[in-house]
Formats: sequence, C-alpha cells, structure tokens
Amino acid sequence: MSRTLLVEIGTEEIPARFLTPAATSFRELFVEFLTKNSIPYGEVKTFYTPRRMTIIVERIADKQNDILTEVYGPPVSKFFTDKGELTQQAIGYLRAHNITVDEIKTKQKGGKEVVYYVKREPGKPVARLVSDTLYELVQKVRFPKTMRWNGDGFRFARPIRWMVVMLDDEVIPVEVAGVKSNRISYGLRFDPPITVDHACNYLKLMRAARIEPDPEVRRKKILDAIHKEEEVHNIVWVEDRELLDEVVNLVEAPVPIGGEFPSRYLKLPEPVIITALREHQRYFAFKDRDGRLSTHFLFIGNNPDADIEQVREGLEHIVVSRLEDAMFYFEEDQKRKLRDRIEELKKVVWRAGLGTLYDKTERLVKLTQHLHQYFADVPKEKLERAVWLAKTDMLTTMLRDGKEFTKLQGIIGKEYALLQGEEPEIATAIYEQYLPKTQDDPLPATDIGTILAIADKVDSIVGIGMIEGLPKGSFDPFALRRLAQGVVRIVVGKGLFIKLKPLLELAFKNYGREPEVDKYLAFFKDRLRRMMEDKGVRYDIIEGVVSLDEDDLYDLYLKGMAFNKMRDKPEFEDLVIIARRVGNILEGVEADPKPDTAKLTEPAERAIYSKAMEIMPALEEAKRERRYEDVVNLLLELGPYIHRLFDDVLIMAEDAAIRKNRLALVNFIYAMFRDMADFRKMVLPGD
Amino acid sequence: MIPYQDIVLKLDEYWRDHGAVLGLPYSSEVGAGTFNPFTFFYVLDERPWCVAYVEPSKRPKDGRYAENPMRLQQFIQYQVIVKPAPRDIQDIYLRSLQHIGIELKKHDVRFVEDDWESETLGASGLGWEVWVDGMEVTQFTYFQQMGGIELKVIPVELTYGLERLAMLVQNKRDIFDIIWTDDVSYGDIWKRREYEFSVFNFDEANIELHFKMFESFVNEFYRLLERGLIFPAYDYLVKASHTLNVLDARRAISPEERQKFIAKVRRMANSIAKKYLGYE
Repeated sequence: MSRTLLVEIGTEEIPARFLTPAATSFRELFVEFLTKNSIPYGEVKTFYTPRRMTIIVERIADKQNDILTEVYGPPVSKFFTDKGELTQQAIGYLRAHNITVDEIKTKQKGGKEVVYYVKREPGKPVARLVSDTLYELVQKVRFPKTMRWNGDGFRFARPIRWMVVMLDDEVIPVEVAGVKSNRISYGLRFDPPITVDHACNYLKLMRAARIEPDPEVRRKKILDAIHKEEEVHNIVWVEDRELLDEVVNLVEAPVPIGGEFPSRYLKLPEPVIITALREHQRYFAFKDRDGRLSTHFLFIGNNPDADIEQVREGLEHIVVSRLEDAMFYFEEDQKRKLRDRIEELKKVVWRAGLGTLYDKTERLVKLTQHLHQYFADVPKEKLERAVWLAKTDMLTTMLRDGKEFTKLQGIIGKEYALLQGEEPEIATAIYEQYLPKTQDDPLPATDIGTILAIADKVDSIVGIGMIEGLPKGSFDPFALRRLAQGVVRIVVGKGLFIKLKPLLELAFKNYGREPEVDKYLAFFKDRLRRMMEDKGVRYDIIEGVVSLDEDDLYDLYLKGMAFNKMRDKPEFEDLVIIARRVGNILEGVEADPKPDTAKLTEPAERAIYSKAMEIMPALEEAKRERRYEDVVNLLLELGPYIHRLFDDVLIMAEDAAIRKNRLALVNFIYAMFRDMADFRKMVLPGD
Repeated sequence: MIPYQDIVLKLDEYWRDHGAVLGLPYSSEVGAGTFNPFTFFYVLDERPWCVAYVEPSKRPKDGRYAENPMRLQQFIQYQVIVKPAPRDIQDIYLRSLQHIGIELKKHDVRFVEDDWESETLGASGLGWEVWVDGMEVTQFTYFQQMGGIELKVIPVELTYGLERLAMLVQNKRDIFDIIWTDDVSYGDIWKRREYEFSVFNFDEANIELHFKMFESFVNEFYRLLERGLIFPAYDYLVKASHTLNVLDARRAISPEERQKFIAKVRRMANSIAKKYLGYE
C-alpha cells in the first residue's frame, strides 16, 4: 500500500547560509536510505525554513521489498540416490529449511551441480526501518560548522527542539538528541502549536499557519515584492543574488517592508552605503532611473502580525546608526590622501613572514614592470602609480576598524582615489587588482588592472605557497587555487600570451628564494586543466596539450580547443595515428634534426620531404598566428605521405648511414607535430 | 514611559524568578560581561549555575566623542548565564523581553547567525544576534569553549544591550536621550564621561605607561597564579586585557603585534582555567 512519509526536524534558527546545502545533503541521505533498503517510493521532496528541515516522501510503500536469497545445499549426486530417492542428507536439508522437495532447484556451481532454494524473507515495515535509521541520517547531515547543546554530545548546526515523524496518520517513534518524535509542529513564535493529523496535510497545515516551507515560493514572493517596489518608487533593484539567497533562508513568513534613509548620507561612496544596507541589515538597495543610489531600501520581515509602521521606523533608525558609523570612518579617512600613506605601508604586516604591505608593493612594482612587455601601450608611469597606491586603502580606518566595511578592500581604494583626483583608470585598477574573486566575477577591464591582478595573485601564490605549502586534496585554507584560477581566467579570457616561467622565477627572486618553477607551473596547469574540463574538452586532449613543455597557458588552451573541435571527425584519428607512427620510431633513438637531401633515395622519402617543404611556410605562419585549426589541417596533408613512407621504406635500415639519414627525415617531420601536443596521451577508439 | 533603571529592575525580577543568583558588576574595566568571574569561572565546571548581573563594558575603540547616536566606548550589558541550557531557553528569553514591556507580537524579532568569539579569553560559542526591528538587542550564545577548554555542560549566555533595549522601549533615536529616571537622562550621567574617555582612548592615554602596565600585569598574573591565588591572579588578566584595548585604540600597536599580545592573554586565560579545574 502506498503512503506518505513526513520527517520534520524542528530547530532553533539555522544560519541562512547553511540551510540549502544541508537540506540537499539530508535529501541525498534519505534517497540513499530508501534505495539501499529497497523501499519503493514515488518522490522525495525537501522543504526548509530557518526553523525546520522537512522531507516528504510521496507514494512510499509501507514495507520494503521482500528479500530473496539463494540457499545452497548438497550436490545433486548426494541429494538423490541412484534410484532417485532422497538421501538422508537431503531430508536433513529440507527439514532444516522447512521446505518441500518441490521448492528445490539446481544450478552449476564450482563444477558441480548443486541443489538450492530461493529463500524469501518478507520486507520489514518502513515505519520500523525509519525508526531504526533516522538518528543516523540526522547525525550525518552536513553543515560547515556544528555545535553541542546538551549532555549527550549530539552535534547539529543549532539545537533540535522537536521532530514530527509520521507515516500517513501514524507517528513513527524516534529519539534524536533527547527529542522524541510526535505530531506537534511549531509555526510562528507566538502562534499555537500545529497538530499534524496526516503526513500528506503537512504543507497545507503549514501554509494555514502562515509558514511557507518551500524556499522557491518564498524566493518568488520576495522577488515580486522587489519588483513592486521598483514600480511604485520608479527605482531599479541593485541586483544581489547572494543577498536574495540569504534572505530567502532568513524568513519563513516573508513580509516586505520598505523604508528610507536620510539623503545626507549619499555623500558616502555608494559601495559603502550598499554594504551598510546589506552586510549588516540585509536590506535590498535600489538605484534611481538615472543610475544614482536611491535612499529607498526594502527589508523582508518575518512577522505578518507586526505593526508595519513601527517596524519601519525601527529599520530606518538602525540604518542611520550604521551610516553614521561609516561617516565617521569616511571623514577620518579623508584627512590623509592615499598618496600620502605610502610610507605608512611599512608599518603594516601583509602576512607573518612575508613582510609588510610596503614589501608587497615593492614586489608588485617589479612583477608589473616585467609584465609590461605584454602591454606596450600602457604608460609606465601610470602603471607604477597604480601599483604604489594599490595597497594604501588597507591603512584607512574604514578597512581597519569598519567591521562590516572591512570587506571593501580595493573598492575603498578606488572610491577614495577618485575623490582625491587620481585618474579614473588608476582608480579602477586599484579595485580590479582583486578580480576575479569568484568563478563568475568579471575580469579586470583596464590594462593596468589586468597587470596588477596577475602580479598580485602570482606574488600571493608564491609567497603563501612558500610558507604554507601548495594546497593538497580539498584543503585550501588560503584559497591559493582560487587565485591561480583567477590568473588562468584572466589570460584565457583576455587572450594573453604570457610566459609563466620567467614570471614565476621573478616572483621567487623577489622573496630571495630559489625558484621552484616546475612545481608552481604544474599548479597553474592544474587550474587550466580544470577550466578546459569545464568547457567540455575531452580529458585525453587536455592531457595531450597540457603535458607539453610550454608555459604559455593561453597557447595551450588554444591548442586544446582546436583539437577538441575536431575530435569526432575521422581526421582527428588520422592525425593522432600519423603523429604516433612518427613519434614511435623516434622513441629512444638519437636523430639529427634534418636529413641530407642528397641521400634521400627512395621516391617516398623524396615525396614527403618536398611536401613538408611545401607546407612549411604556411605551417610556420599559422603557428606564429596561433591558428591551430589551420595547423592541424596542414599537418593532415602529410598523412598519405607518412603512410607511404612507412609502407615503402624501411626506416631502420641495415646500413648505418642510410638509417641515420632516414631517422633524421622522420625527426624533421616529427618536429612539425611535436609542439602541438603529446599525441601519446591521446586516446583512439581502438586503444 | 519605562525608565532605564526600571528595565534593569524588571530583568532582575524576571531572572530572580527563574532562580538566578543576582550577581554584581566586576570591579575593574572589562570588554564584556563574559570577563566577570561569575561567567568565566562558573561556566567551566559541570555544576548547574544561573546568574544575572549588570556589566558596564568598555570598548575603547568604539568611542565617538559622544557624537554618534548609537556608539559608545562604554555601554551597559545585562548578562545572564544559564547552565545547563534549558530546552525552552529561546522562549524563556523572549518572555523576558515581554516582561520589560516589549510587545513582541507587533515587532519583527529574529535570530540572526552570529558566532561569538573572545580571542583573549579563549572563548567561543555558537548562536545569534537577536534583532528587534533590525536592531540587535541581545547576543545569544551557546558556549562551546572557555579559557581554551572544551565545555562538557553547555551554558547559554544572554547579553542584553541595555541601551538598545531602552531605546526600543522608550522609542528614542539617540542613546543620550534615554531616560534613566523620569528626571535624569542617560546623557546627564554619561555624556561627559563618554567624551572624556574618547579623548583619553584615542588621544591622551600614555602609551609608554600602558606598555609598562601591560608587562607588569602579565608578570603579576603569573606570580599570583604560581601561588594558587586564582581570583587575584585573574584580576591582573582582566587589567592586562583592557590595557591592550587602550593601546589598540591609541594606535600604538600594529595588527601583527596585536595578535601577539592577544595570544599572550589567551595563554593566561588557558592556564588559569586549567588551574581552576585542578588540571594543573
């Protein structure tokens, strides 16, 4: 019979950022439990609010499937006598398993024909399985951080205070962390408890009690409220998906409440105001139609019975105190310009063991000077000025003392630089040095910002890597992978052909250390691998190009993309076959770079040589211009000549002089392939 | 309108009825009620304990020369410890707000994640800030560690911001307008002190003297600890911690040095906690 299973874990308020991943992990654990125990079910749904995590399993069987096992007995030869009668042993077997001879089957096993029967154990009731297993499932729910709250040491994100566990209309008895399951749930704080009469009525009962358990419905309600606010006040939401995600998980009965802050605070840099609204208060910010920050904000309350006017007043009041704080830091900071703070960089340690911010800046000067060769159009003085200003915002009170504002590094630098009359390009670069911070963050737009962003990341990776080691496994406490990923995204996204080895060497030299270039280059190449995987490049193609002895990541990327584009065409197979054929011959032998043309006696030899010479100029040009699809097509033209060469000519000829010259010819041809990929790493259908 | 001092009386009354010991503020400067021995020592062991007291708390860096309507270098906490944490502690807490006259049903009350940590005390806990209409009025923490020691019985710490509560109850926009009694305002009592201490913290505190004081307090702490005089030793830990905060406000120490000083005090807190429990 098909039923509905309800599990609601009632808690004190679970942090918003924990909820979604925890609910996902709870669901996965549940699905695993149902599958492992072969319990038939229709659908597993999850719902959650700050005070509850709920699983509803629809159309769940009331018993697990029967368990069938084959129970073996003696060989057939010992089961029946020659006359076909049961042996003593057979009678014993039948009696022991309480079966008749009709249930017996036979099967070949270990070279003998043996007797067996299929034992059918009836499935256990689902209620009992849930009752036995739920403790373990709840214990396994993953959170970034857990706590203890009573003597038994049970850990969860926040204390568990009630549990509703029901199969249809019956409570399944469970105890977790001293809490016994029953049918009583809790809604809004000052509302009476909710009695769940039947598992399938759960959502209806919750909604009747004004709780919205479905985060997607809450999200829609909040977005509708934002859009209504936009319309009514003729303003545009400063889109902030992260904040939206958080607010969805901060409320269970969303009530939008708009408010205003006094316009005198518009004097503050906009990012500071937005931070004051979002970081601490979780208010949504808006812009006017002309793109300037609006004094309007939107808060999502959690109490439908609240006196809206009174709450609004409170909200407006509290944000003033935040903005007042920001004003204090801002005015304090304007007393000294960023450019007058450079000496002060010497007083602040960047990282223990890695010198001060001044030391960091000096290293950045050298790295950016080196990188300048790739950006000939950038005026050197401008670049240098940006570098010297880059870290000065770390000295401002806004970043040192500003609590929620301390996250604004780079942003404060940019805003203050603009106010203090620095060129916009320099100001922007100060902000862009930290880009991209996340997977989806934009790349630096300005050249100076790009140079600084690469230099700062490389310096940090080398410095921190030197002291803490490069990350291993999933543990990356200093986010070095994210920094390396940033560099890869920049060079690929902006199409920069940058030689990484000399840059890394310089970064090490800046710290006065022996360069460990290979290890660090491999670290960057790992990030390139990951990026190409994400773009759907086949793994063997990635391996083929990444294992080249090449430190220009964008070049490797282009080669990988070119191969990947043609990977399903027959030509790709051809290319790999011919490249390997050529390469294999050369495995472990010394060969001259070029043959003596006078000694090329066979027609096949002469043919391939002249074909190679014919395509050489175009090939070199295509390589120079990194048109790697063209390169591949040109190389493919050599295909028939290579096959003919190997079919007609014995490369490893008896005569040493001839052999030497033929190897030189092959080597000459192979040189045209070698810098494109390590073809041995690439996989063909037949491999 | 309920005056500030009546709010305190009501909280005393409420927690007395919940079986709390009504404690006293500590006799020297602390950064939070957590520093008071009523909390620091009494949460370490496994015996039940419930205490409530007022604690003026000094945060030298937060001074604003009495010009900011909501920030002070000294604010007044109402501190409650309940050990072990009762199952309905959130409700008990919310009823205490109702008891001082906040009609919670009409407000937006929520518990927003805020994991609390005192680096100097080697203390940490998980919990929330409690917001009423967007304003933080209480820090609500389940202690997990104190003095670097993992606690076996988990206490809950409730730290009410009395100024915040008074502003809410009295509907004031500026701390200094809070009425202490019908005739005396918060500003009457504290404004001049706020201003003078801001000047002291930011501009006048004698840096050289404070460095010396810090060293002396640390030395005295270890001398007394060695003699098993735990409570007198603890006084010097608290003094050292406050001296450090003054030096920090005075911009006399770099962030790196600050970390070193904090580590020093944390080691003191750890050794005294162990001694108190008889581990050493």
